[in-house]
Amino acid sequence: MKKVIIIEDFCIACYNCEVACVATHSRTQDPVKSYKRENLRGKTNTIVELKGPAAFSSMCRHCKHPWCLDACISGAIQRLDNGIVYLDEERCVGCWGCVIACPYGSAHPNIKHNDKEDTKHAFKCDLCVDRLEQGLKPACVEACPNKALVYDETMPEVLSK
Amino acid sequence: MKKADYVIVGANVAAVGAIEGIRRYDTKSSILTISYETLGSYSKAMLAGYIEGESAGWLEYRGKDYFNRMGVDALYGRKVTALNPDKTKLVIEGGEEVGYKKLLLAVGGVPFKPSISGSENKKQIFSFTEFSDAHKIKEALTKFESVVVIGAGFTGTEIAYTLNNLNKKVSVIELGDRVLVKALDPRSSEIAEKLMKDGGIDFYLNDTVEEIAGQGNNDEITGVKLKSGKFIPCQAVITAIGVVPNGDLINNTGINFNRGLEVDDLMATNIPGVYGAGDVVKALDITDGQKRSLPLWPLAYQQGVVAGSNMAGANFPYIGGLPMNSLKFLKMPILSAGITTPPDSSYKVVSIDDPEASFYRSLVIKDGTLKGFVTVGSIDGAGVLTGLIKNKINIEDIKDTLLQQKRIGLINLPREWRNKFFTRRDETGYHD
Repeated sequence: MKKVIIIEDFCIACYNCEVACVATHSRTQDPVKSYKRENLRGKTNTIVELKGPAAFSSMCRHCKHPWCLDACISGAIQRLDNGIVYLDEERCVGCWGCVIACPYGSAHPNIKHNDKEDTKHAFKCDLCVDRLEQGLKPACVEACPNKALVYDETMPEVLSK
Repeated sequence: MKKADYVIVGANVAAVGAIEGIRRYDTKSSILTISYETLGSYSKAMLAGYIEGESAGWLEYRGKDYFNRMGVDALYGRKVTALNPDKTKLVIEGGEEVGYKKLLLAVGGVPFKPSISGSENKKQIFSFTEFSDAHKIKEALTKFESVVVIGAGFTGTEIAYTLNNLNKKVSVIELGDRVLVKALDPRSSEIAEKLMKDGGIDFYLNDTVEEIAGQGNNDEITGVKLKSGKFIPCQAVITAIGVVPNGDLINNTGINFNRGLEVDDLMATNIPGVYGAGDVVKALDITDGQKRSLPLWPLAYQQGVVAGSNMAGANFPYIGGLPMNSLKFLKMPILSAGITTPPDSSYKVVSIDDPEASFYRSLVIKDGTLKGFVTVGSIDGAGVLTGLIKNKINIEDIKDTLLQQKRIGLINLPREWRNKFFTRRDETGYHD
């Protein structure tokens, strides 16, 4: 299947992927409003990791065998027919099974107990399934100025002996 | 006689994993699941939510039409009473026989029930492992104000927390010297205990229930008497000491069962065509290479997928699992995996603890590799630590970084390792 390929040598840590991810998963579709009015700060499915000169944007790898799906007690995580590993936030009960199971740290907890909201669910990259249906690329890929994120077919795995 | 190519005894998470495994390789053959429970496939891990007021439908794990969609016939509310591997058939309640080509035993575990004097004729003693238990507790909610929970493990603390939320007076009795002794290390155990105590739950540690008291011949409970001599008034008792593999159907069939169903790497038993998955089996624990009963949700699902795939002719070895725990009910998340309390001095522990106990993390290390961890408060990226345990990556140089409160990222790991998953070659399969 097609996935987001990450080329860390090309990443310039501009965080455009994070902004694009939040905006495209927002109600307003607006980068400023989604952060300031929709309380979506920190709810980005792809996260820029940075250490010294190294940087890359990390998101769900849409595994052939998703460990997060194994651990999901509510059935909120499903593998769609096109291979996308999808988390239905409405069905999620916030048990954090996926958070502890994902070896890439790509399923995140959203926990907020304050005046504005009482939230407890996990979230993760959906490969921008809505955009793909419209023939578009994932938002992070489109926003990446240096092609550190590429949406492309993966090569078949090497058969191990 | 009823017949199916694949017969699965059980309908819960291991059975669902097996159905998904079978259908990866075989979309045509008939599958039949048989379960004595009436609800079909539901989430046992969410039963506390049912007691708190959610509907039975909310517990559905794969949706109403799942079995239909997967081409699976189901018999619910029917107990399998006998198994005859020589004749490849089994008998269900009422005497009806069912023949199979391949059989999966996903019969789960049964709650371990201590024999306590005075418990014989009392009405309000409950277990908490399946829907009927949760339903009984929910029905009885109006009939008790105070309750004693025996066992401070995962199930015990969760039901205690739930009933406390419902304004019951809850006391938890634990034989060990701390709560959640299997899942947590001493410090995180202390944090968890404090969170629950602050919520109003009482704990009696290093103690055990000796007698359940009633009035004369009355079947009503008046309280429990502890070994220490204390008397705790209550009207209900819930036992939550754990589950043991269910050998009911298997004993005296020639299938190897020794405190758990014995299975090989393909989840096959010693009898050709008969497989096992889930809480009933003794499965490989990758933290120490031993086979043991590990009654945990994700492992049951994985074992189901492996068993189902192999039943359908694949050659898909189980790579083993490790204990993983999430205290999902507390306001502050607490996660743990692998070995959390070092068994001997060959293990080293590094930890970080902030004064308010809003963040705590400890890593158990042996020969430079991670064997287990606990993380409290900050959990984003915790799965990276689980991946480190599974992949036995040396963490000597990065252990201090892994203790920091910010999200644990792949950036801390060897580049060659993470690049496997980032590049065009797709290596996100089962073995990673």
